[in-house]
Amino acid sequence: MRQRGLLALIFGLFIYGFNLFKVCFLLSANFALGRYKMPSISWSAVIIMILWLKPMEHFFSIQFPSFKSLPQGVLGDYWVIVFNLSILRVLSFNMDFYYHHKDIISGKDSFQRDCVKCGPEEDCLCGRARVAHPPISSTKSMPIQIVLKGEPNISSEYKSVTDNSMHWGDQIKMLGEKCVTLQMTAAECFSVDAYFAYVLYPPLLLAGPIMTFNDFSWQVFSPLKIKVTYCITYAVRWTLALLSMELLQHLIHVVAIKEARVLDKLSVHAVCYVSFWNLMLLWLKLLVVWRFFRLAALFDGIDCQDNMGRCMVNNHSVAGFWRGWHRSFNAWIVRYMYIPLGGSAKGHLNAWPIFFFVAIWHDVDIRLLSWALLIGLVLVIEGLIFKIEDKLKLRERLGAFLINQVHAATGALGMLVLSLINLVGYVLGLEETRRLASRIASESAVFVVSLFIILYAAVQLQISIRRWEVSRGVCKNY
Amino acid sequence: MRVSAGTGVCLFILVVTLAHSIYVIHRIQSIHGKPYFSFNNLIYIRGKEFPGPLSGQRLVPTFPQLSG
Repeated sequence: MRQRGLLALIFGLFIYGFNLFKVCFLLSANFALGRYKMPSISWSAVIIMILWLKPMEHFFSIQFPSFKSLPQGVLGDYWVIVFNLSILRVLSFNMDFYYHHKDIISGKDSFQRDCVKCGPEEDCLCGRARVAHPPISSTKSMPIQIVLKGEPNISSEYKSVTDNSMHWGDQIKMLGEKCVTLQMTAAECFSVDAYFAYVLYPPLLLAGPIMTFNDFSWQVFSPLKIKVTYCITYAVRWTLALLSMELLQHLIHVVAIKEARVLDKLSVHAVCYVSFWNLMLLWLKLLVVWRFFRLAALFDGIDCQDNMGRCMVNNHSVAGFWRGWHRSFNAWIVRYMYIPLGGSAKGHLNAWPIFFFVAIWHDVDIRLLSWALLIGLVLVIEGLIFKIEDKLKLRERLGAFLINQVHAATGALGMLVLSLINLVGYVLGLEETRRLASRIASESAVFVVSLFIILYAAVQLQISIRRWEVSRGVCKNY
Repeated sequence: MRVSAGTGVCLFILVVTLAHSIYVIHRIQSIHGKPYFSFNNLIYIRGKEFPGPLSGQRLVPTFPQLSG
């Protein structure tokens, strides 16, 4: 871990330049605050950093202009934006340290508590607990011994958690054949070396995907056996995604059309097409960025959760879209916000603070705040519709065929809403999207009906894809 | 994967729509002029100039914030 920590600092110097001193100061302060084992302190520090980092950096650059003459690294002034990802990692470290301490006080072992699927630790074969909580001994002199025996049982639910059953299955099989002893202690696991190695981990430093500290430390202390063929296949897929993006940008110049502010001069269906391809391009860009860095981590032997579980057009519910788009961040949110705030029992209430946090974390910007507000609102409405459907037992009453048509019709509406919300947040902004929505609403009935038919056909296809996945034993909750 | 007639019809509608969208965007480009590409950097920096009615605009689409 010490070597990893040093390498991370060297890489950090290359990326941040002399701004690394500011980064190290902030990280050290948060590390010290985390030692209080109080989530309120850790969270407050994180919120303050998110809100005040940019103004403070601006203030600093005015007060100390000579600092600018020093090497600023690859990122230069953009270090503040990239540091947002490190903020999530800082919180993950402090919260995992707090959870670990809480478990010691309550006399529970994290591993025992979380392996609800297989029962006691010695019977755990699915490996689920490995991702959720590493087995960390509470005292330095007491190593934890995990005995895995029998044939591994990798459930479809677990597959959906890791998405890497290909090589993970082999890892579990390998563990299943022998007794594994981990000499990891709390002091080693939550050390300063581990903290810097995790927060400044080079392959994931710039853009993620986001890993929880537990997952990272587990993989460092007990390295995974990642197949080379898996990495090569993943690299080929990444290359294809990059080429698709290049081809798209070469043939249709939708970003330029959008930026040229000529949308008002175009017909409504042309604006819809331009907006659609802008969203597709946004999806492809982020896919290429995230997969590139995940690939780098895979070659280093660290397997983080993949983002973009589905194609952008393969979504018709806000909840599903949110779970699949930035999956690693969603997993982070579930672990550190959604469950502590009450989970699904209070889903309609905890959507608001969560999406507010997501918005300010991205950027303190009116577009993103509007996006968060709209997503939260639609999520609550969607949750209510699902609850009503369950309560009225509509599936039994209407039959499978009719309920599928109802789902397709509501899904078509969901796709339209989802597209508009994402246009607000990431492409057009609130005012332009509002104009587009009012233009769609005021168009002829033929246009509105044809738009609905296209979206309806898309959702029917999505339902078919999901049915096919289920028939193959793939269960995704998005 | 067995594709039913309904799924086939849906697929057909979507393929036609996608093809139509590309046709419409090409029409816009033929009216307003095609952007100029400079391949000095494959992804991150790509200058785009519209010689037509959108002339004078130089657009540099860059990656959105890496944080996504």
